[in-house]
Amino acid sequence: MNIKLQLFGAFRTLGEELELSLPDGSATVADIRSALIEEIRDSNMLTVPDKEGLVASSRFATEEELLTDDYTVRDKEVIAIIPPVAGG
Amino acid sequence: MEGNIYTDIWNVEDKTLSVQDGLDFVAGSGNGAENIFVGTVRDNNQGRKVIGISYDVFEPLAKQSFIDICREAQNSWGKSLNLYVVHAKGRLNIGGISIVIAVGSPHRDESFKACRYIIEQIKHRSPIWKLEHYIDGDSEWTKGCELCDGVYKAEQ
Repeated sequence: MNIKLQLFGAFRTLGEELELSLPDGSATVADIRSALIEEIRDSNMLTVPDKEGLVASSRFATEEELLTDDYTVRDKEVIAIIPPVAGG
Repeated sequence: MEGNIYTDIWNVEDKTLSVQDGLDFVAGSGNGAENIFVGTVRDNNQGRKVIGISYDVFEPLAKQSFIDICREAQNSWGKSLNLYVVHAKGRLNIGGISIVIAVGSPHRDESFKACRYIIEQIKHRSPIWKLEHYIDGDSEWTKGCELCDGVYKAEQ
C-alpha cells in the first residue's frame, strides 16, 4: 500500500510530500518510520547532520491528532511528519 | 458566562498580525484586566546575525492545538476568560510579529497566568517550525521541542 507523507520543518528539503510504499496488509506508523529511513538513508537532499536521529525524534499525525507508533494506517491516508517543534 | 475564543494562522504575505485586533476581540464589560503577549523576530540567535524567519505550520493540527490550549486555560483560570491566539505563517523580517496572544479576564492574576501558560504550551506542543535566515545568506531550521505524550500541567 502507498501513503502520502506531508513534510514539515527540516524535512521540507525533500519537497512538500513524499510517497512511501508500505507492506500490504496491516501497516503501522512504525512501518512509516522504517520506510522513511530507507528512503532518506542515501539521499543527500536532507541536509541535517543526523538524519536517522531526526526521524527518531519526530512524531506522526493526522490533521486532528498525534499518532502512536502502533496506529494502523489506512491505504491512501494522509499522514504528516512532525519533527521537533519551534513555534511561538 | 463562557468566554470567547478566537484562534487562527495568518499568512503574513496577506495580513500583518495585530495587537489591536487581539485587544478588540477580548474586550468585555466583565474585564478588569486585558493581557497581551507579542512574539517578535529577533536579530540574533546563538551568536549568529539573523535577518528574518520563515514560519512553517501544519495548519489544521496547529489550530486544534490552540483551541485545546485555550480551553485548558479556561478550565484552570476561569470559563469567562476571553482568549485570542493568532500565529504567523510565512516569512517575517526583524521586528515582525510571529504571534499575538490576548487574554481578557475579571482580575489581573489570571490574565498573567493564562497568557504565560498559552505561550509556553504553544512552544512545546504546536506543529510550527522556524527557518532562520542569516546575514551570510545561509538558512537553517532551528532546534525544537520533541513532542511527547505528556501534557504540560497548568501551574495554579
